[in-house]
Amino acid sequence: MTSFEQLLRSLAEARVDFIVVGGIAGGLHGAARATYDLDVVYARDTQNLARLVGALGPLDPYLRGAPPGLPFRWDTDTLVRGLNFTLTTSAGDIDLLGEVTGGGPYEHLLPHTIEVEAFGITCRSVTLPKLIALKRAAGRPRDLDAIAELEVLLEEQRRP
Amino acid sequence: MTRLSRNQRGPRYTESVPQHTAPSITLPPDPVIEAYKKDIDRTLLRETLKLTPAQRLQRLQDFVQDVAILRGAARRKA
Repeated sequence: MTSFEQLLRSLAEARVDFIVVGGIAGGLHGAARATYDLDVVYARDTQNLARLVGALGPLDPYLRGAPPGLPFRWDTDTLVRGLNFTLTTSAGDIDLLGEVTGGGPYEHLLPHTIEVEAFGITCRSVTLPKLIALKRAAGRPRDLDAIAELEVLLEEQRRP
Repeated sequence: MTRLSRNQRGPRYTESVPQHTAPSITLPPDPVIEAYKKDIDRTLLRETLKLTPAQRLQRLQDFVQDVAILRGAARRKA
């Protein structure tokens, strides 16, 4: 089971620069849809990669869906060589995105974020209009229902 | 959910991010998405909008936990 609290707390306590996107961002904005993993866009500067390694290291991250025994080192070199990582950890599943379709890297997405508090942690989530734009840009048929829900949510929020 | 006072709150993940107003985004209507919207339960969304973001996330967490418990029970039964 994914503990969103533990994952967010681990990132926050290590002062990782990250933005919550995906289903959890939708949930923070009021979507009623269930989600089972945490998606974050993370900053790719060297210091942040080191913080990220320190944050998730104690949670034994491993490539989700990879056969057991596949060599995987959780260190900054691995993060430098890759970009997007779908991981399973002792606190559950987390997707680390160096870039996101329609949003680019962390720095490009940053103006489209808001600060939110959950579990006593302050973190940054993508705004609802940007989340819709990201999901539209991804162009995945399975997202159509979720996009419709987010757009209705936006209409409801803007209702006088 | 009890609201935590400032010094009870957990760490801020960054001190370097400035507060700002997000740039506006234009979302032109998409006929396919418009068709999907007809099946969305607005009453459910109005209820979630009454909650704080923290309460919404807690609700999601509780749901995931309940699903895990049910799956475990189903596995034991099988």
